[in-house]
Amino acid sequence: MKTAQRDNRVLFAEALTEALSRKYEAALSSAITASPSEAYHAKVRQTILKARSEAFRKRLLTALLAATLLLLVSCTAVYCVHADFGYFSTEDDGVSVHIFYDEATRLAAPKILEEYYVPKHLPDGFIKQEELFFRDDSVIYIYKNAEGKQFQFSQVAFGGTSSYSHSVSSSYTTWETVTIEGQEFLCGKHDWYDEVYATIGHIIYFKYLWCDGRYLLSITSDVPLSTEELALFVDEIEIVPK
Amino acid sequence: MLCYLLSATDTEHKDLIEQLYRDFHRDALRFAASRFAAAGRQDAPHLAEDAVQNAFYKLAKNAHKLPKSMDGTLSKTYLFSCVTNEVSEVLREEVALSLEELPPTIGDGDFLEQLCLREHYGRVVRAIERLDDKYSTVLLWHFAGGLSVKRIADLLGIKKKTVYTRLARAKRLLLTAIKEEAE
Repeated sequence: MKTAQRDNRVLFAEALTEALSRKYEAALSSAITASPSEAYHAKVRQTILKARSEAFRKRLLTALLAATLLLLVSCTAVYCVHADFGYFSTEDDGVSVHIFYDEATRLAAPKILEEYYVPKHLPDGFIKQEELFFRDDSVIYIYKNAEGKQFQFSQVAFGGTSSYSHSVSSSYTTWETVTIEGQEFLCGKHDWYDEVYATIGHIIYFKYLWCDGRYLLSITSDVPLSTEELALFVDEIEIVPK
Repeated sequence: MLCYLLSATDTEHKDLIEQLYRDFHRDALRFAASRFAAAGRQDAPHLAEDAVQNAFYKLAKNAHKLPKSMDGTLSKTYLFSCVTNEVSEVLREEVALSLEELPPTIGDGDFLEQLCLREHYGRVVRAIERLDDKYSTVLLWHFAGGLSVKRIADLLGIKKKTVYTRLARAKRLLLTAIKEEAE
């Protein structure tokens, strides 16, 4: 009886997290795409349009329709190209980041960690300090060296709820996608400086994400990794049954 | 602001608060500003700064009371629930409930059983999404965060009685919404 209650509690906690995460992300994305200044510009534009002649309005509408169609075709093409290339894409400026959740992949991917990916190759001097499990679908291993530098590795089930809410923040991070030995990576440099309280200092760390169709994997490191090191790290991951 | 926050946090949780601030401060500001703008407030950016600062400060001050699951991606949801609460407080969305309006209390066990989560998981998720923020926030901290009513009251800066009321209401509203969707 108590076990059933505990299961219900865990399931309800998951439902709450999933629902609110989805709700907040939706609110945030609409906040970014529809700022108050955009609303103001739309109003001004409408006022200007009203003053135009009927003929001009028709021509404008035709042009807008054509532009929309062109945009739609471009978006479809971009989506197809991305779908062919893999899971990650960044805009030209390296700021906006997308992780593609193809529905078929997502349905086929595990919802929980069905096995553990254990890194065998680590930078010199790093020792595992902590293992943090979140629900059943993600884990983070934290390594530290004698100087207190950190190195993290995380494994997130692609079909799980953590994967859904996994967001790649671009607030202070510049991203690029690279392919090393056929494996696609999303590489980010996080560069943060507190403008007000300079005493906090300048914080820089590096993040590398990749996906094998089943799990979203990532490394966070205080120092940048070379392509050789990254390839070696991925090659030497041992898959341990649960 | 971060310096101020870290001074309010105990040593053990400084990293967590700093990580939260670095990763989500800007997103939280955008989120809060959009809520205030949607409510027609001209001074949305300034109000958002206050609301986000209050949310961070309360999290920092109560960091030792937070659940261990605050690490990782869950932390963003928890932070945004606190920001939502601060926005609601500023907009004075809270409507005092008279004693007559108080719904009959229902125990956590009975509530979870009546939800029939295994059968209606998707329906429950949709109902939570539609639930008013002030109710979903207390549900999140109570059921997912595992915090007691007193801790939730401390964290959100509201009275214990208000937390009890919101929890009782939230449970009733959720059960009603699921029942209505089934019909």
